[in-house]
Amino acid sequence: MQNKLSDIELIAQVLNGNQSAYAELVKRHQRFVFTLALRFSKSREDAEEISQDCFIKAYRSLHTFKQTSKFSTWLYSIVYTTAMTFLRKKRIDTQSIDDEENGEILVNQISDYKADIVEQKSKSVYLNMAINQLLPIDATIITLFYQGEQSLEEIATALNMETNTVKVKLFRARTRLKEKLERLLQHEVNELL
Amino acid sequence: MNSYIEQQIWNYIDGTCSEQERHHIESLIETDPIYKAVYKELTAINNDFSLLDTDEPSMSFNRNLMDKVKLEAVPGTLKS
Repeated sequence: MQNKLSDIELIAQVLNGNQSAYAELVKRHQRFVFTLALRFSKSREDAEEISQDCFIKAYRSLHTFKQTSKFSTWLYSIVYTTAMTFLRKKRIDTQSIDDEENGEILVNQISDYKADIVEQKSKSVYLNMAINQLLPIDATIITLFYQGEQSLEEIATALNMETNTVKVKLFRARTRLKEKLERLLQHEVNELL
Repeated sequence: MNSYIEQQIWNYIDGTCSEQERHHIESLIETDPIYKAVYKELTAINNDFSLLDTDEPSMSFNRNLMDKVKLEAVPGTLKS
């Protein structure tokens, strides 16, 4: 019954003291929040920690959500700031993630990949490998745009950027993802795209 | 590939250009082989990007989180 309620209705219930409504809200968004966190941390363990922190922060601040944006957009802005804080604390050198010369990971990923899977699955596997090689901000923008179904304006709100900046970053991120994909696929790219 | 053409076509695909620009790009796609090729390539890539997976956290994620939430006050009821 409860899963038919909108996010806004669930939030109203939470603010009235119904914590099980928050469990439902978390269930609804946890997969995407975890994916975004993973784009930053590149580690499942860290992504779980970021996601947990994010949902706790969102719970504590739920009364400040003004409903001028979608709940998901508001939530993703918390993921972004939480992930950035986490990265700073861990002193991760994000530049190394975009190291064009770092072919070792690529070789290992390719050797792990079993080529006898159907084409559609291959595309998905290669794409996910390619996105993991992008800078966190590029991977985040691509993920918000394509998987989060967020508009450029909503992404700008979530990341606290100008819409035009997001537009430029999305263009660059897509170009980089395409290049990474081409490197991964090498001669197979023409056949797969 | 000309990145200016790519940018124009992404704007067209994303629907972020003006009506006038949209008509202009549409006619270039129909008449200019370069625009047509870039459009074909970028629409294919655009479709493929939608295949990206989302990841599932561990099965205990929700339970662990709600254990922490239970220790919290109802949002907005405490003055800091």
